[in-house]
Amino acid sequence: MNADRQSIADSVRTQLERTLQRSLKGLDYLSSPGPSLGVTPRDLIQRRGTMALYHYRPMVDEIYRVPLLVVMALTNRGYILDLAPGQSLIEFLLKRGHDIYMVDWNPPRSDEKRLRIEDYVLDFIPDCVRQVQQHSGQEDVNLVGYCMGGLLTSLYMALHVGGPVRNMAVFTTPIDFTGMGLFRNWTDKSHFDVDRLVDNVGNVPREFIYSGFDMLRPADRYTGQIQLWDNMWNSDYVKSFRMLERWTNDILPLPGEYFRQFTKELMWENKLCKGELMLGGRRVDLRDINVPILHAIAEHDHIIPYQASKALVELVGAQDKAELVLKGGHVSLVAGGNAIKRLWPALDAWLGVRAT
Amino acid sequence: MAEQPLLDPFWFWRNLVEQMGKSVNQNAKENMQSEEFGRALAHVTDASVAGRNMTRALMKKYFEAFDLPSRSDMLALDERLQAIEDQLINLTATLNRLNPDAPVRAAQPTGTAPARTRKPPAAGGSPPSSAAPTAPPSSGGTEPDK
Repeated sequence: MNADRQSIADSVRTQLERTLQRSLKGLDYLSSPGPSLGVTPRDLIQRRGTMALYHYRPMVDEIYRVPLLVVMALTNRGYILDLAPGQSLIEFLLKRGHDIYMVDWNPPRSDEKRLRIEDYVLDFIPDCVRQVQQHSGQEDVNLVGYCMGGLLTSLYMALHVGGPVRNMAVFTTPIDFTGMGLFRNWTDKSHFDVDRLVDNVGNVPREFIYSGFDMLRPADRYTGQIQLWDNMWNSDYVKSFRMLERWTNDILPLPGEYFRQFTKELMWENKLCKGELMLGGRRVDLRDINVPILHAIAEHDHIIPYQASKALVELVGAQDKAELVLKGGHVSLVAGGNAIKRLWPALDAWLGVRAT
Repeated sequence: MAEQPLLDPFWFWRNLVEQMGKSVNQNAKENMQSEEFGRALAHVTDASVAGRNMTRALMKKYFEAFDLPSRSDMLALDERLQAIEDQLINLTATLNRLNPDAPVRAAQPTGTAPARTRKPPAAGGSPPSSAAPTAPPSSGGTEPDK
């Protein structure tokens, strides 16, 4: 009986404390700037219009021989992989001895509206690989790609057989565009006039892309705010919320021609999966990819569903290939508590034995 | 549904919000899969682009009338500056490569380069403690997934 009374008293005390903290920290939330993101020290190696190549400064005295080049998605900033100290995949890998470079993308300039998939696959990425080789003094390079960065990585690998890349790891990479769910419905050629859009806007505005992501789960914007208030007493939750909210809103515009080509050849015709995609006059055949490959997929990914991403490991010609389906969603696969427990150690272990 | 904690007045409401969010998302997904929705969305996109272009044309005339630079003028200026900055970055990188000891290498970390001799830990070996990350709360704010 006494124990029950004590338990009730503790519970009441906890609720009162949380209510008080919600008010105090709510004021702090409204008056303070968000946390700094992407703070792991890095140096700009090269910038060319929309492309920026960075090198992260090593954090240990002994590193793996083979440097790692990370290719980000064109619509998102690379700091999702480097949110904050202790919550950064980049920092984690640096401390595990990896030498990391990243291709991060700036918003395309108006004259870059002409950039096509070829420009990324046959120019930007090969240029970055060369820069990494020169900067690190190593002939071999390992590649990592996230989301559409994984798609660009796969296209690059299929067209650079026998190149310097020794291993590739990609996350949530779409290959079979018939599995793209709502995106495919919204951009169906029976009603979506991609030519009119691109001809009118040049580069596809960030608002357009943001709306596409937002509409996939329209209630989340509101329930997220309610959950934020509910958890306002919890500083760690608020910090995590603010970091991810900023990243989610920080969408980049897409080059118009890239979007036109992407929509017509991949979303409409699904040419990559059929083996009919031509880039720079060459056919892209995923069976040509013969280096070891790891594809990490999120079990509850609503942006790139499993139906769209599972084809990669099925189609590549590599003998050493693995598909890793992990609990989580498109973002929580790479950032947050789930990622720290699941993807990060798995990626480190996979890369470690292949980076010597 | 999670087990109700003792005397938590927000428990029911919290679950209600969660269930409502899921339900709204599910219903929206079903409705947005229809061809009618896709067609309506295309019309909205067209109207939005037309409105955007009209506003841009009007603003351009307004700025011209007052002899002020428009947004596109400012963007063009920004692009030219960026192009110059890109050239400077590339020049600096080239100089760094040609003369590794030059003071222009200020952006590079100082000290000796780490040795590229690392080997993966033996299977089952524990990582160094400095590499252990801090787990943030499981809920990720506006993260669009779970």
